[in-house]
Amino acid sequence: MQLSRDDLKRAWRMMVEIRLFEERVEKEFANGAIPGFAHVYLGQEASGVGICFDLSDEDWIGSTHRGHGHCIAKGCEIEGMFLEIMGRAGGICGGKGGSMHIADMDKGMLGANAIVGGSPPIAVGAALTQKLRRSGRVAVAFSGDGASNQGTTLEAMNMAVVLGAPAIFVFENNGYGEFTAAEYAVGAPSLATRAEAFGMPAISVDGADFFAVHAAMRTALEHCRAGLGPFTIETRCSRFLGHFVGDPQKYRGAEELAAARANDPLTRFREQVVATALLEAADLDEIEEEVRARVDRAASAALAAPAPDVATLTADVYVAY
Amino acid sequence: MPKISYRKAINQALEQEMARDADVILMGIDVGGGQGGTGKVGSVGGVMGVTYGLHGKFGPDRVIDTPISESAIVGAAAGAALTGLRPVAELMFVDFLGVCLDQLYNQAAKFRYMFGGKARTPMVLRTMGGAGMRAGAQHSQMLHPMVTMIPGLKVVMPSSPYDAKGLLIRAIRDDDPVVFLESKALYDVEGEVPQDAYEIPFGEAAFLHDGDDATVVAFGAMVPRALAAAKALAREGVSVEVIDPRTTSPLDEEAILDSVERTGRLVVVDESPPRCSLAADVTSIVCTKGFGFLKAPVGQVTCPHTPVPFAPVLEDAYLPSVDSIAEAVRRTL
Amino acid sequence: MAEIKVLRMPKWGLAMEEGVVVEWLKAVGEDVVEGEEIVEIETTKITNVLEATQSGRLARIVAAEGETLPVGAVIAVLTDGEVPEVEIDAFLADRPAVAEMADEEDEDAAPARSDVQVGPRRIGAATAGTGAPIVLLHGFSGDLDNWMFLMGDLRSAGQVIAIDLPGHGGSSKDVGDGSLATLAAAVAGALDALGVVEPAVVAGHSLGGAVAMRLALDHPEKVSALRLVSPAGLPGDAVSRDFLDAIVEAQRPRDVKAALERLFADPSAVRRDMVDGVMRALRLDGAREALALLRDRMIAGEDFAAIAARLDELPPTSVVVGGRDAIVGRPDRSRLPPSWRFHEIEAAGHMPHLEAAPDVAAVIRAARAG
Repeated sequence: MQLSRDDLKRAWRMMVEIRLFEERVEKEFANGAIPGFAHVYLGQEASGVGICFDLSDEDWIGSTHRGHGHCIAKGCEIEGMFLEIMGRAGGICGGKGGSMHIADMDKGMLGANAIVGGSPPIAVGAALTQKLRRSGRVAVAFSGDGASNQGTTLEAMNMAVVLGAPAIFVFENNGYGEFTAAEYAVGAPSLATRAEAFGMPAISVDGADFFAVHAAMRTALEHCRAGLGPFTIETRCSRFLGHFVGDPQKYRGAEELAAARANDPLTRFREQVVATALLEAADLDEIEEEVRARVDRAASAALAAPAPDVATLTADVYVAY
Repeated sequence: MPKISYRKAINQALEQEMARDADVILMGIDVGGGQGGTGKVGSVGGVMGVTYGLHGKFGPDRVIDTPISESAIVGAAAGAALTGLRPVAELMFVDFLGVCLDQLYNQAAKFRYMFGGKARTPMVLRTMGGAGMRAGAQHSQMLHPMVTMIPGLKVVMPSSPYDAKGLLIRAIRDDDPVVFLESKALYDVEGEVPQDAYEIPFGEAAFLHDGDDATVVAFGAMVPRALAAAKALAREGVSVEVIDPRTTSPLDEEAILDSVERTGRLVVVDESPPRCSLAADVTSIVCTKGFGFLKAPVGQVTCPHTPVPFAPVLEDAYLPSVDSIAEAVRRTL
Repeated sequence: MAEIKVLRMPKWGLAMEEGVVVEWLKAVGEDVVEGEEIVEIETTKITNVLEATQSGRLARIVAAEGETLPVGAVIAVLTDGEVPEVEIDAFLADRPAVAEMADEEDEDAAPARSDVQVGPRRIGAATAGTGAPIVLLHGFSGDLDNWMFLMGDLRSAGQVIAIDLPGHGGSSKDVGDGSLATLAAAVAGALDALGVVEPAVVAGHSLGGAVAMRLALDHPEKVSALRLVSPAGLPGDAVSRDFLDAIVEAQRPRDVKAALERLFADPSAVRRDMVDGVMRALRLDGAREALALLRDRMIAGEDFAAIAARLDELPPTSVVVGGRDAIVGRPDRSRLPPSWRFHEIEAAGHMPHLEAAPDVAAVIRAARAG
């Protein structure tokens, strides 16, 4: 299906927002402004945006430790995200979550998840709610190639098939589970064939190609909304950086790293839309500058924000002692 | 007032809450039973028959038979809870916590806090535990201390049909995840239970026997044993106040401390190995907050630090007995 | 000829299984007249005094003070005239130490639950005995078991019908608009459903007294006489708002205990099971809301005023009040119809039917006799 100019601008804005947000995270992490550690989504933007592009606030996603991109693609505000990631007052999770636990129920974002394989069972539950309520909505579980080997993921995939839940399992195969290649750790020839073995259809697509990912997601949505049960999409991605910001990546060859940078999903999007005259380069530049200004403002505001009130330590949980 | 069994009381609570609120669903292994077989679907109602009849009343969309996939069961319950349902998931035996614990303690228990108070997770994990059924080491444990120590979870240990119904209704209506730990030794115990729905609040202990000489705190299936010990001691002229906290998290510290302030003596009966048990926990609370009340060292009646054995004579020796409870009280006098 | 009789642990109310002998009020060798207080018994619900069910000399105390015994256990032996100890031994040896109460004459007379459906509501009821009807209506936050000490006594005078008011006991928690008229209509409906056709002696305690009066005004054919025990709603009464609030807002058993203790002249009468019973009632879905509505109606006072304006229309009425009632106080007798009889029990609080049951039973029976 042909996307409108406004759609394309929206997709570009989301991808650029992720890119610039993550580059700022990388910088501020190096500056010491971000406590703990950060896993950035650089290089995988087209995957998250292609998947979330047609989802509404009433559709749900569960994410991974590398979740910033999913959050932005699902509509979470970067202002609250910066505050959260920097441990400042007013963060999207009140400073209780941090980089790996950003969630926003109002946006249908069930949380980044620091447990590899944590999200798929939860997404099945969210999908079950949609099935029972006949809402026509879906739940997406983002996982990596690493989580594809977790028992929780495999249990969730089988149960989704058994219960006919409108769940979409998205495996962003960026080639590495932490520091070990999927080539080594995934026994199956592909994640798509593994999903098919559970009894659901699966598509494997180029995760750096927004249009390919988006088309696969359209197919998945039609399948789920027709009441045909779950669907799997494998998006083959490359991460520009390592497992976390600061990972020296000695386990990846120089050629591979260069190839990853060369296959930039934003560059490919720009070239495609400009080549086909769908958008002008100036349109894209204008959006990029708007986003850059917003990211700068949000990051600066977060850097200047106070720490959370210590009195909130025991809020929002039942405290026995 | 009608007398019904602990099993029936739980069934009745589920039925009444499902009838009241269409968002309440059941899910678990064989909660209906018979799916895909050649006989009758819904003919099982759980391995102990606790959910029997509900599949017929509410249908397969609300009484959901799952594969044997405990992580997926608990996680899906958590996800359904996050998105608006009130699932009651069944973990057949609490011993199976090991194959789903992440979804319980890392996921369900943490959402509300970790997401800055913007999520609620109104799920109940019904499970059963306890020795005495000759079920061996992997089907006989009581893992309440493990779940009690997890922030974000509430933990219920009903000891009577009346409490089972009222606490389960409370659990289903609660917006936090609740582990509802049933004692399988109590399923056939009968007691008076109102037909109508009622809630017993969490963190409110029950006083089950009056006494001034010593306080006995007991949990779950140990409560009837503590009461039998109190009756035996009464014949010796020793009067014992028996307290059932009902929930281990929240724990009604105030009731325990008030009682010990009056009696000066405390025995805690806990179906658990001694280390990091509720016996240890209650003792610690009384020693830190009510040391001055104590006229004698606190008595603890627990299981030994062993897995649950199989042979009947060994299993019986494993559990706290009426005699061992009474003897522990005598030692404090 | 010398006769040997046994005194047994009584069964007070449906739930009582055992009792503790607290104190003997008579010594061995003393003569006891039927109806005289002989021993104080404590149950988990309440402490009460047992009156001798027959006359004679207290020949032997079997149950020592402090002993806990099941219902039906022999606690003492009475004799007419001198009986040698060996004969008493032989007599006791021939008898079961614990009588199966249900196997004896009590079986037919024991109160039986007979809940009925009245329109959308279930109404809890317990009935005992046969004959002309005597209807018992409990007070705010009580239930039909409040009459436990009278049921046995009254059943010989007629068919005793104790009813749970809407919002209470085994009845539905729907109290409608919470008005006395609604409560009285529910009682009338329950009597119809139970097949009670004769006019009844209607005894009501506290709020139940006001309901009884409303019933007599709205359904005069159903009420032959009124027996009002510490009634609410009479001129000069004032229902304690503190008490009503304390019950409606009680969170923990000790809150309930503190509230209930105000009902009795002797607060130590309140035992664990009584507190538990009220706690259990409060936990039922809708119970607290129902009681809150009834409280609000009572505080507003219009329902009471409507009755007070029509006291002259009521059937023959007796009033029993406790001299130490801290809940409704005491009605202004000068504003009651002169025909009304008035009984004050000096040592009782707000619960004379529990604190001085035989006196209250006598007043109710007198209505039947008269």
